[in-house]
Amino acid sequence: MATELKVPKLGMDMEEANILRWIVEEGQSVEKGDPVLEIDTDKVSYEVEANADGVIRRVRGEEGETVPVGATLAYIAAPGEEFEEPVGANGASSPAAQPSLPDAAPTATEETREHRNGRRGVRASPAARRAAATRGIFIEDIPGSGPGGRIYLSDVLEADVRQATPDEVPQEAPPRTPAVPATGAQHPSGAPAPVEPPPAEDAERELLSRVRRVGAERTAKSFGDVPHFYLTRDLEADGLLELRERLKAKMYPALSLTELFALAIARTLKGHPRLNARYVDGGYVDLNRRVNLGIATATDEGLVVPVLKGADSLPLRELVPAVKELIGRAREGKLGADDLSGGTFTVSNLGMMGVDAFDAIINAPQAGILALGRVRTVPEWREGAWLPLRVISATLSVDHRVADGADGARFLGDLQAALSDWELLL
Amino acid sequence: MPEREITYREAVREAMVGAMRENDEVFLMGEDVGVYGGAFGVSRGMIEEFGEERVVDTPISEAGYVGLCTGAALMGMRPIAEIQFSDFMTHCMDQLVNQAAKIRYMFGGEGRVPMVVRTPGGAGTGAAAQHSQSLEAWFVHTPGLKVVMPSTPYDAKGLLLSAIDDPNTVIFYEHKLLYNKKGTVPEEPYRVPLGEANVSRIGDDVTIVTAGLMHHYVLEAAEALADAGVEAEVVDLRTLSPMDDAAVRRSIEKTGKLVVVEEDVKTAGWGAEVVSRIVEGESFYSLDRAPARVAGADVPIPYNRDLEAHVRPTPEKVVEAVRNLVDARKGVYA
Repeated sequence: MATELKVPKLGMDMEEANILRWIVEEGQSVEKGDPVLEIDTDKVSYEVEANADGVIRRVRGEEGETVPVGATLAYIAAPGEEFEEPVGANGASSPAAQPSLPDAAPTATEETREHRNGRRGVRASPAARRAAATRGIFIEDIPGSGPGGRIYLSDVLEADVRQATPDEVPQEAPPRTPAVPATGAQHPSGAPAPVEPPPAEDAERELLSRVRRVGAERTAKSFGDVPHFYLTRDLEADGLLELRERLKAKMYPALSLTELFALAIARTLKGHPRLNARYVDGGYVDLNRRVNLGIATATDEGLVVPVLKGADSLPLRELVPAVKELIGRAREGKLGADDLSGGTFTVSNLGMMGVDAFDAIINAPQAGILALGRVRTVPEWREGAWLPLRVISATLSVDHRVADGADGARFLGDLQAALSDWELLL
Repeated sequence: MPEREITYREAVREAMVGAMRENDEVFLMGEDVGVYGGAFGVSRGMIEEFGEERVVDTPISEAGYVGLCTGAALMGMRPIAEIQFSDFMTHCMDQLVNQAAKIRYMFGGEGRVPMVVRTPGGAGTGAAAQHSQSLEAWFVHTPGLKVVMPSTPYDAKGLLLSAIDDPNTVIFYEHKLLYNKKGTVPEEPYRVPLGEANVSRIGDDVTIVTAGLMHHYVLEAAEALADAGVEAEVVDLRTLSPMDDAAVRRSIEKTGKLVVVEEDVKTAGWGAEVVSRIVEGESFYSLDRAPARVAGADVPIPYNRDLEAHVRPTPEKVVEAVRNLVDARKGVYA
């Protein structure tokens, strides 16, 4: 079966992209990860990489054309595969360079649904749109029973029942999972979804910011889909705190515990690839070669997680300003699509807000997140006497499909070693 | 309240007679309304009771006597002007549109024109292009006038009494094919408020909005549709201006489908106003199908009977429109 190459969603608010340049041509062989074409949003340019090994087929979209997120750009036929475009696909009999968004063929197949993923392609009655919005269903995911796949209210109600009782309808295809969870901004009506039931009399309803809406969907999905487990350990912080004192005077801007932790975590992760990984449906795990460290950041609009790319290879002198710059832009709401994508592991620090310890929700598809608490001084029985010991509580949340308790414990052990003896990171 | 079946014509007459007995300021004026009893016999017998002072035959000049009625209304009378065919309203357009509709506004409420202009509209009688038109949308388009179009004898009597009471000029549309229609009507005087639609049939599948003679076509179509398992809700607007769009909205909220059935020509007909009011507000989001109109063709009414039948709405066309909407594979009627 050929793999579809689609327009990726690079940022929370991205809806469409321009095709800048095709790097490969129809019929050319590619390996997974090879750049296939270059696209351009209002924020970033981006190379779309092949998502499978094979031969590029049925290239759609001309250079300069604007295409919506999720639109099919090409198919990658497995090596040696006799390529057959899925039934109902547009232009199955004609050659390459199809316009990417012709009117949907009059059969509600998977392919026409893909076309409808481009918002402009969806035809739905106003009542259907309202019902979908009220129920939090993406109208793009609903097969329409009308001509050209037009969606009626009855289709939405049916889809709603299906979602509520998935087990009873085993013949239904599983819901399409976008690379990045879809956002509220994608909502086709463009309007905030009217919500039922109405708020309680003594409650005031407010519309979530886009950041919070996205966060709500992503955390709910991650917490529901990913089997979490948690390992908590008090990390002795004397070494860390001494290092910060020592470097504080020598570095401007002054470094924070978050930045030192970022360095220690990123470098320690290099030796623990199962925690810097992602689970792939079908029984695979992708081990990431680089550490792209997400740094959970509270903003007025809600939690965002900017990503420090290649954190494992940054020297401290570059890492500190890079982290400060990322967090600064996050607070100003100036993050681009690139800043928010590609994370492989996340650190969340609530220590400066007085929290002792907490459990964090994994930022799927990452496999782990480390939650840090405040610096506490605890008594420790050592060599016949009680000694004050400064510690920071660290709780590691792990995707159990990817790693086990022992994997996490070893990581925390190595992290402790690094915090005590920084030379180990050299 | 004693009830009996009378015709639409008799119901209109009963309202006029009742009002004239109650109130000396009410009088009837028009071409052949007196001795002849009106072109369609609506005022038959009235001159005998009220005399030619209050049931006045006029020269053939709509501009003249509608102007006279306008002045009388301004002076405190309650005139009823009859126009033989609604097509002849063109002759008194200035009196109606520039005078009667404007005076209350232009004199800061100091003057008012409580006049009723009764007139039969519509086609289906083989009377050709100059005696068959449905021009009510013109007056719906004129602020300052109210437009009433009752479909049953009961509503005709109740609405005419309300129209005579009303302090504004009311254009009261009757229909040549309705005059012989019978219905239950109380003998006592009663009022049907202006501006209130009547849901004459309850159903969940589609809302059909209509008025006047078309209401009967729609009810006929609704029965045929019910045999096919489609339950139509029928909204008889009764008053076109002010229009009771809230009643339509309530029904659409339930059915999600709107069909308007009007006898006037489709282009810029009052049905377009019904549709617009639904689609431009929050009620847009209650629609599950594109709204549809079954209306007169955009042509002068042909004299030839077959052609005339061809250009008018019929119960069959209403059934077809509803079937097209309800059928998911089509979903539109255009």
